[in-house]
Amino acid sequence: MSRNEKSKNLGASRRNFLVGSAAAYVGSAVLASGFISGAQAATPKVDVSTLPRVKQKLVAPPFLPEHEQVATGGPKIVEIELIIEEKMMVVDDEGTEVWVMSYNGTVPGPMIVVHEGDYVELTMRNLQKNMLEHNIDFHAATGALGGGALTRIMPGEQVVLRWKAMKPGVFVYHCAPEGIMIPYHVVHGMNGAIMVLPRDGLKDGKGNTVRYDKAYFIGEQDFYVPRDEQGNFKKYESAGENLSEALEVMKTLTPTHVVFNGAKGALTGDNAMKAKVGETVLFIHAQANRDTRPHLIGGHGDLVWETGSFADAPMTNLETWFIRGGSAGAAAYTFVQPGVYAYVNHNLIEAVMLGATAHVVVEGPWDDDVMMQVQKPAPITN
Amino acid sequence: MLVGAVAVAVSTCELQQPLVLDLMNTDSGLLVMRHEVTLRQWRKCYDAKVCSHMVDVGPGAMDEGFPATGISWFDAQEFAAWASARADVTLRLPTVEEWRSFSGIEENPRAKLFSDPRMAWAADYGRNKKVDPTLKKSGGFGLSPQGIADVHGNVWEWTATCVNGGFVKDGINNCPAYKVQGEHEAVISVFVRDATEGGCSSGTPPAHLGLRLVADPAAKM
Repeated sequence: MSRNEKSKNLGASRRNFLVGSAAAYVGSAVLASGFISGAQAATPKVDVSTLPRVKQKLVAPPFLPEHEQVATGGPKIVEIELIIEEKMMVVDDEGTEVWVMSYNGTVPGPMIVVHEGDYVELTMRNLQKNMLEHNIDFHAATGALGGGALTRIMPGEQVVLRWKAMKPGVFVYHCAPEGIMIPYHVVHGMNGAIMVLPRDGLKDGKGNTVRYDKAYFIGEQDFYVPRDEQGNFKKYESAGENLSEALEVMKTLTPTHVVFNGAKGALTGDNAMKAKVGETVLFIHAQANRDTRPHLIGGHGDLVWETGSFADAPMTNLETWFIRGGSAGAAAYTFVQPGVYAYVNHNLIEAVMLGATAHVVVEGPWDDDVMMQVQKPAPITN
Repeated sequence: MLVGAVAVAVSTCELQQPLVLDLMNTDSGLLVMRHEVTLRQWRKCYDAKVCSHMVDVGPGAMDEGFPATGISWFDAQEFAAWASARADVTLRLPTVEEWRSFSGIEENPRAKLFSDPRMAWAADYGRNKKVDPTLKKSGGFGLSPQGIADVHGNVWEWTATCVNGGFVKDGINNCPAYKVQGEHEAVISVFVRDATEGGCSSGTPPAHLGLRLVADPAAKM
C-alpha cells in the first residue's frame, strides 16, 4: 500500500518512554527453560562459505518476488533485506488511520520465496525515525524463537541473521518483541510470509508436478482501532501512542477491521487480482493472529495445502479452507470460466462489513457447458 | 433554461412551521427541489412523527445545512407524504429519466469490462470510481446546467424507478429494490440506509443515500 501514508519524526523523550515500556516485559519468556539437551542435530555440516549467493528483490504484496518453481542447482544463500518502518496508513473508505509497524512499508510484509535447503540471510534495519524496538520470528526457521531472540533491534540499529530453510511450505513471519508488545505489533501490521518450495517443485499428492502461472499473496490483517466518546475512530500522532487504548480493544477479541493487504479495498477495483481462463493461480493466504476461512466465490480450491506444509499431499476441490491463526496456507485453482470472482474470508460479516474481500478479474471466453442462464428472470408462471 | 424558484404554498395548520422546498421549474416543466432534502427539513418531518427514523447526523453535522443521508426508500416515502401534505403540489421521487434530464448526467460512458452479453453480470466491474465520502453543506458541489445543486456530489438520490420495471401485482407494489442516481447508477434494496461493498457485490456502492423530491406542475392530485 502506498496510499495515504505519512511518517513523522518524534522527539527523544517520547521514544525513551516507549522503549522503556517494552523493556519492562523482558525476562519472562526466554529465560524460563534450563533444560537443554546435549543431543546434536543429525543435519550434515555444510560449509556455507562455498555456497552461491543470490540477492532476492522483495516486492510489495500481493505479488511475489521472481523465483524458480523448480530449483536449479544446489542450495544457495538467499540474501534479503527488510526495512522496518512505522508509518500511518488509511485502512478503510472512511479515512480511519492506523500507525502500522511495517516490514518494507507494506501490510503484510513482503513474501519471501526460497527452496528447501536454501539459507535465508536476512539483513534487517530499524529506521532511526521509528519509535519502537522490533525483531522477527520466522515460523519456518528453527531455534532462538524463530530468530526473534537474535534479531532485536532498536531504532537506528541493524542485524544480520542466517537460517536454514528445512521445512517446505508456506509460513508466517512476524514481529515478537516481548510480552504485550507481541500481539500489539502483530495487530499493527507487523507480519508477512515466506514460501519454502520443495527443490523439485510442488506436487499434487500423486507424484505429478504442479506448476502455477501466477501467484498472489493475501495477508489478512485484523485491526483494533480505539474509538472516542462519539464512537468515531481515534487518530494518533505517532506509532505507539495508542498503546493503552489499543490493548483495551484487543482484549475484546473483536476487531474493528479485518482486511486484506492492509486496507479495505486494497485488492479490489483497479487493484483486483488478474488471471486468464486456463491459468493456474496459487493463492497464498496468511493470518498471523486469528483464524480465517478463505473462499473463492464462483470457484474452488483445486489443490489446497491447508496447513501450509508442502510435505503433505494437498486436499482437493475444496469450497472453503481453514487458515489457523498464526499460519499460512496455499490454494491452487485453474480458472475455467471468465468473470469477476470474489475472494473472501467466508465469515461474511467480516468479508462485507469489516473489509475481508478481494476480487479476481478473469478474462477469457464464457463456456455455456459450465454454466448458462437458461431463462432470464421473469414472473412466476403456474 | 433556468427559471426562477416557484413558491410553494403550505398548509395553514397552525401547528406546522412553514416548509420551504425551493422548487425549481426545469426545462421539461417538472418542478424539482433545487437542493437535496436537508437535515433541518428531515428533523421537522421526524418531529411531526411522520418520519419514523431520525437520520444519524454524526459529529458536527447538527449544523443543519447538510443534506439528510442514511435514508432508505421507505424513509423517503414517509418524507414525501409529509411534505405533500403541507404543499399545494404532490411531491414524489423522480424517475430515472427525470433525474437524468434535470441533472444532465447520462449513463456512465466508460467501456464495459466484458462485451459478451452472457457476462453482463460482471461487465460493470471497475467502471465506477469511488468518491470522497466527506459530506458538504447543501450547494457545496455546485449546480447542474439547469441550476440544480449537488447532482455531482456524494449523496446518491432515490428514484421511483424499480430495478426491474415491475413487481406491481393486484395493486400492491412489491418492488424489492430501486435505482438510485448519482455519478453512476446503482440498485439498492428498499431497506438499505447505508450501502456498503464487499463479498460478492462487486459494484461500487453509493457513498451516501439521500433524496430530492419533484412535483408535476399540475394541480395537487
